[in-house]
Amino acid sequence: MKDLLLKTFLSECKAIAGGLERLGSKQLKNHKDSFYTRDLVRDEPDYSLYQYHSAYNEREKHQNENKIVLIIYSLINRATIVDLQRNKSLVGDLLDSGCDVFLLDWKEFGKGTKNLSLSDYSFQFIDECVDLIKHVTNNANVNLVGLCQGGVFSLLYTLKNKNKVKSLALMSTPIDFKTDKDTMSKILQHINLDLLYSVPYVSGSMLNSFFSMLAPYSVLQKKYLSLIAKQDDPEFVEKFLLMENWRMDSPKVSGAVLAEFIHIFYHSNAFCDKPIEIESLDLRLEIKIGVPVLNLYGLKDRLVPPEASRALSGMVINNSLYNEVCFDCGHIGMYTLGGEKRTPGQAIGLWLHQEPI
Amino acid sequence: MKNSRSNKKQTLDKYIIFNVLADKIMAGEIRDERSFNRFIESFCDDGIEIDKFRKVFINNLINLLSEFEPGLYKNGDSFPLVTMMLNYLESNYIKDIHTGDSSKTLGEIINKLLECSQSFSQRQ
Repeated sequence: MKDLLLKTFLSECKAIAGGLERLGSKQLKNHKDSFYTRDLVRDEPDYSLYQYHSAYNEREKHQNENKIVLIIYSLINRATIVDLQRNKSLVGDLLDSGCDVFLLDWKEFGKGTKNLSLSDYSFQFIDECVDLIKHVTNNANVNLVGLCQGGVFSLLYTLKNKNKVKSLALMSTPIDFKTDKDTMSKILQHINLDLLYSVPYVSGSMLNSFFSMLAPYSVLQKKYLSLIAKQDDPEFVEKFLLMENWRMDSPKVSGAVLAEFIHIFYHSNAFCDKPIEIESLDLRLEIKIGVPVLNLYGLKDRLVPPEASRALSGMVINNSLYNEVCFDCGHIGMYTLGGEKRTPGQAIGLWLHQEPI
Repeated sequence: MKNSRSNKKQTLDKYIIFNVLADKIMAGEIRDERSFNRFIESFCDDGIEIDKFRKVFINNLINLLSEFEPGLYKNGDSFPLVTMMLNYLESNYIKDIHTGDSSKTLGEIINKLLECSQSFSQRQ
């Protein structure tokens, strides 16, 4: 038995070595295309607002009125993840569900305003976009879809602007920043925030290194086993390369904004205090959400453990306003789910049209 | 399997050796019994007795691999034993962050990187 195990182990090692050799001899094509076109609605020094359209007009017209959706992404990584793969994307699913989709796309820090704060991201920029969308669509009912850190911004905006948001869908969004399984939170407790405040920006490569630190064997080794095994599957290779390119292409982020975010949320766990007091924003918000909320999270999410997202349920004033739906995937898997499984984008579309999820 | 990091009696830490082995596997350097033996021998040039070390190492590896249960793995895992070793290493790593000193150590590394960034930006 022992010999057999060792023999099997060594044959796996041999297959990996052979697979790597084959992989090295291949010219892997770098894919980059999109099924959708987008119009630039507003271009500002620190953000762009886009409106998406299907390039092939294959969408079926929804029976009901189209819902207006504003997607708000995180400052970490790029928002291209919402429209990364042909026919399999959050944007595509929302368009197919009968939504008019807008994306608030943050620009890389450094080229625009130098002294940004959390307040700019959570209030000013979102507010400018909401007002403009209302104007161009002639529809006052804007639904926010916040993704991860963008979900935190969306929630802060909703708490402050109770009458400007029709509904709020949050994907992989942390609410309780000190749950037991939160590895990121454990490490961030030891960050010197004075130092972080003093750094003009944190580079994309440094952010990547930090995220690799959270699960190095998964991020830097295990997933390449899948690539070795499936290197002859063009669809898998395309998706793998798209994801890797996206993962490695992190933008610079303001050190001061990151420090503020870590202080308010990872150190002070602000959403779990009642009411939320954010000194740097000169703000005191009652943590009571009075609009319909859809909470979407991955059961295998390591960056934002499910418990961290589920804490949202306690913030909604009425149980009937709260819905949650979980997916059998991790943090990034929320954007790449496909096949026969229902995707987060489809779930949001159904929920917005008040159909069963 | 016990976390070998707390076993001070071992001359070479099992966790560290598995780590190096994982790196070698993922670099394609373990391709047969010969290269596997060469890997083991590479630890034995500083007074560590080769036969004794080999026995302990193989035993540790077998103990780890013995925990493999095919039913626990989803279809399509192409390298279940190597995957299992990486899972073991990662769960130890994460456990150390949550219960040991690793979170502090990693925090210090990040602070050092920030110091470097700070001095770099001041020079510019």
